[in-house]
Amino acid sequence: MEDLTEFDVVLDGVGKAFDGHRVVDRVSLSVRRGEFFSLLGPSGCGKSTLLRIVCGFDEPTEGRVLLAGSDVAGVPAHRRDVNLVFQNYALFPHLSVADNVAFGLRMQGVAGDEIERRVRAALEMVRLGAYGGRAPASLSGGEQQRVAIARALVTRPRVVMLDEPLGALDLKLRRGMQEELKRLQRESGLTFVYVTHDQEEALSMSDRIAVMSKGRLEQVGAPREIYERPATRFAAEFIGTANLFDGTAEGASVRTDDGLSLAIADPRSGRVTVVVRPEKLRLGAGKNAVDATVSEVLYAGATSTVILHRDGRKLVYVGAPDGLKSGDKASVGWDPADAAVVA
Amino acid sequence: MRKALGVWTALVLAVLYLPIAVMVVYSFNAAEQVVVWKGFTLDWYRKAFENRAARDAFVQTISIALGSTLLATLVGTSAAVASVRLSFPGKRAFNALVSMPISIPDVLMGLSLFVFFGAIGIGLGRATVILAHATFSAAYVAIVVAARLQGLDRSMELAAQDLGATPFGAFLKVTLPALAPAIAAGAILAFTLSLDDVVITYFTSGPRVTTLPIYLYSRVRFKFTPEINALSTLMLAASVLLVVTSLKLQKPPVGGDKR
Amino acid sequence: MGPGRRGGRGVRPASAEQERRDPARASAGYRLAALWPPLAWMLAFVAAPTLIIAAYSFFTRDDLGRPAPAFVLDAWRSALSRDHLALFWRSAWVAAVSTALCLAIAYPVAYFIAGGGRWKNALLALVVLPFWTNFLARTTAMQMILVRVLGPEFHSPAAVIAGLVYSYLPFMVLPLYVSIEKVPKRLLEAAADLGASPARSFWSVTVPLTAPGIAAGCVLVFIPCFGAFVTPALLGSPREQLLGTQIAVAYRANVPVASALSMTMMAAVLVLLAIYYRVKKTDGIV
Repeated sequence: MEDLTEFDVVLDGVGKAFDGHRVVDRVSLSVRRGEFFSLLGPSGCGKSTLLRIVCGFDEPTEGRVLLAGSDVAGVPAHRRDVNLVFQNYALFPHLSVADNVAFGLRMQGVAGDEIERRVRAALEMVRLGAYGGRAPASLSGGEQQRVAIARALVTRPRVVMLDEPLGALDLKLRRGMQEELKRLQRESGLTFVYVTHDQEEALSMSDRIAVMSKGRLEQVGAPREIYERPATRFAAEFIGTANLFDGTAEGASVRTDDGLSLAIADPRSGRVTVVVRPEKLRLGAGKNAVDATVSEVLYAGATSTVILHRDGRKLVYVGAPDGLKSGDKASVGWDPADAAVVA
Repeated sequence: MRKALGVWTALVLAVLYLPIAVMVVYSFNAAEQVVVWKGFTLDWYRKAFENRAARDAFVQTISIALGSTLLATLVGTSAAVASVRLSFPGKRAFNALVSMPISIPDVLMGLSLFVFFGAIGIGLGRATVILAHATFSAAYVAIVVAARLQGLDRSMELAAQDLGATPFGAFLKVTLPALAPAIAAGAILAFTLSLDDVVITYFTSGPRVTTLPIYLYSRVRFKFTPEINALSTLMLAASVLLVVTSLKLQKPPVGGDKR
Repeated sequence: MGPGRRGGRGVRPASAEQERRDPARASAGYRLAALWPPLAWMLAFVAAPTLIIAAYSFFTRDDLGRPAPAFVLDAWRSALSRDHLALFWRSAWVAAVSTALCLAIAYPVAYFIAGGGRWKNALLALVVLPFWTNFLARTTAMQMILVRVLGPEFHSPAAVIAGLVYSYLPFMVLPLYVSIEKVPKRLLEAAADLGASPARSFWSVTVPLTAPGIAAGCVLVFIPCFGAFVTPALLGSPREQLLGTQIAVAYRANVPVASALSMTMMAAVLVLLAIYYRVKKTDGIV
């Protein structure tokens, strides 16, 4: 048995089925101590169920969950050292902000003056130092969010789970909160498991990401790795924008379903998808070239996004627009090394 | 934990229904005393039917219930409409006034009506009982109808007005029909309450009018005969039937509701 | 629609538009039909009688016990005498104990039903049904049971309490159920997540959040228990009577005293109702 103590959360073949329908399908992953780990996937992919299983609100129908090395099967939620920041904050309406934050500390039997000290520090950390006496209902959504975070962090749990915490906030607030969360995680040194459907968010905040779809784990890795070397078609499509070419591989070339012949770096055979990121495309250069007609040019200063079409296939190019306009014919290309191939 | 709660609930329900069950069972008991079972019989029911006083009381009870139900339905329905649909100064006081008959103990209602009738010179009799019953029943009708009215989508009435109906006409043609089941439910409730009432009838009936509950009450205090069980069981069956019907009518129909 | 463009074509005159949008400003016919009948009725049969009782409490009585106009405090002196006050407090005490017992018995039932899924409505109906059935029948049934269990000498305040709890238990279950149901499940999960055992979650979260339901239930049960007449008459001992029964038994002999006693009961009830309406937070009939 390998040394599991560097992992705060280990999921080993965890599955959950409702009425014969597998909502979570044998997921195995490990979260390292102190890392910012994201569970990323579209709604219905099982990430929320997985979160509830780790917190102890649901029991898995197969597999094991280990927290800090020990199996927590049968351990109820209130005895697990995991704190959850709920999607809708779940602040206690009958308690003040300070009492909300103090709740977990009171449950642990911490002494009164220490509670006061730690609550104050926690509220300062989320920049709500003066709000202790207020009622949760009198706060804005963003402020309530921060109280929920303070409440989860103040007891310094082994793992902090965050369930799409920024979903209800407007864009600007969300960007600001993302930076805040990253800072909080770094400063506190706690292990964060962040559940979201927003891939941009996950890419920008995480140390590692687990991509899920339909209850299965598609890929686990650092953001860069997932972006540049997606392991599955789903991962390629879900993360960022991608130009996808489905086809059959024979050795070092792929014959796509719509008649193109593309060169790939590592020879293989069978059905594959060639994945090329928009910024890897070049105009009029590259070993693989595709002729297409420009549909839209979305100007954005230094780089632009150019949408091209060829025989019903859409191509996305990001780079200097080179004077292209709608209706022009252009050739975009890439070298095999700049593309990823997924089976 | 949930199991323990379930057991407790079952226990409570058993205790709630036990006396009723015992009463019903013993109304068929051939023995005079409560404690022994001597065989099934319908004698007590027969005796109850042959009992002249009981029959007269029954007739009184029904006629009073019919009269008071009619009045209660009219008063209660308009109180509900006024409360839910209109805004006017002193509305809170109005609502409190309408609910007062059921908020204060029966004894107070009874005594105050006794005194009132005496003060304005109306002799106690069937009419006074009808008026008294109508007063507290109206409050219940108001509650049932108001609950339904609040759940109705107001825009239906506005649509009717938009198409040319007067506000009152819209109310009559659109809202009232949708309200009909609730009004019926309220009416049945009023009827049941009138049927069962003891305290208020006690104060407002006077010597010449006896309703079935009053008759039972006077008999119960003297001597406990199984005939009383039979009468009580009959009244119980009637109440249950009426209440269940009323509840069924209160289930909102599909469509026409606020989403 | 450009800025500064008010009125002009396309806008109907204000009053007609408002009339359509707000039936409250509609024709007087509507208002007359709905408001005045119940108002008149309630003023006549609820407000006026109460005022008359208040007045009578200051009258004297003639030889037949009927009230004779005057302004004396005899009736009040009697109503506030030691014997009558003992009655008052005994009734309050019996009502309080009955209410407390109802609360203790009903809360777990309401809690269970609130967690019940498909059976919620059926269970609620089962619990509430006895309350709506014939009251006298139930009390006589209760009497039967008590005779069987305790023998013919069962009459006592304890028997009265048993009868009252039996009668009004459903009345306590309903507001508790409504209140418990409203507690968001997420909050209980949050409490557990933060380390609260089920017991601590219950006392720290559920109970405070159901306080309005508890208060409402207690007020709704206390009042009829306090003013009970039939149940104490059938189940209570003649030497330890309650206020409601006393009023009902003695009113013909002395209307002014009965009126004064009623006023004391009314005062207590109105205080509790004021608390109830404050807690209830809505102003409607429902």
